[in-house]
Amino acid sequence: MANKGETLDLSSQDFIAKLKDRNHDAIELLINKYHDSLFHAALKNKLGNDQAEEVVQMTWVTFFEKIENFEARSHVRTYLFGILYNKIKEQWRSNKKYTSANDEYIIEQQFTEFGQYLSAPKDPTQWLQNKEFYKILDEELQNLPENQRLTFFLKEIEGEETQDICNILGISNTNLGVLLYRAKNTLRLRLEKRLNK
Amino acid sequence: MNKIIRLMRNIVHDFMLLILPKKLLTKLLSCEEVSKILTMEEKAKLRNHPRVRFHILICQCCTDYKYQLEIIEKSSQKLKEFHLSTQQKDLINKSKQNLISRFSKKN
Repeated sequence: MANKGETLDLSSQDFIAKLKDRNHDAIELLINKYHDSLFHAALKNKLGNDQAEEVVQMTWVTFFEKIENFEARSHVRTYLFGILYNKIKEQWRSNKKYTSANDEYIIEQQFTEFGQYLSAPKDPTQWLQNKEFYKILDEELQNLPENQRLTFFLKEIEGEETQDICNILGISNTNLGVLLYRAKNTLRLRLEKRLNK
Repeated sequence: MNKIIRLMRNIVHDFMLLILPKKLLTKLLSCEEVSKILTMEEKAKLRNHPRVRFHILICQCCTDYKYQLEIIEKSSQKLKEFHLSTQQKDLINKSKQNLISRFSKKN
């Protein structure tokens, strides 16, 4: 393992080989590094503590089952989060919890036939002056329809690359663009409603 | 100063819509097109295109839209920071130890 002060590349062939060999130190390092983030991501996607923990455990089980086939084409973190988000979607299905996309119609009807705004976007300067802005943003993010929330989370919060997001969610570049467009417009309309007076 | 700039932009925008012939207006991007370019990932390379920049220069709606997006995108990155409660930490610490034991072979 790396000496203190050296940065360890968790997607290096050497490290992956140690994981495949079930090296205790490598596994301990990986789990300690990502378990909390995986748990937090599960919580952010509307799972309770116990369900989030269960989903994260299943993520690790699947990861170690599939580690033999992992070729390190993407970072190990992206691979882990890919498994996590698929487990989250399975959990949503079993919870039968789907958010209806009530704002889809509103987003499509923002413009006239000539492409001009029916209702002009409002100046957002006062958003940041609101002490509860981050709390409100977090609430509205939680209220997004599932696929929009996942896409936004992966792109804007986790900072994943476009192609990795497409691979994780099993969607095309075009679909990703549409989901991001809807997510950001839903967010901005809801933030306008709550923050612009 | 900000209010004056906003007013000037609105005046220029409305003036251009009034005086420019329709054929020329169709060559300019619409607000809907600009909103999609600014938001959709696949169009990211067009964000700095002169037509987009010119449109935003004269359109207060799209200026405000762009600013809204910037606030949402930058603020969202702060949501990556997290603090777990004591109860949550206890829950996952036990789980981590079990997982490490389960998947590793002892050295």
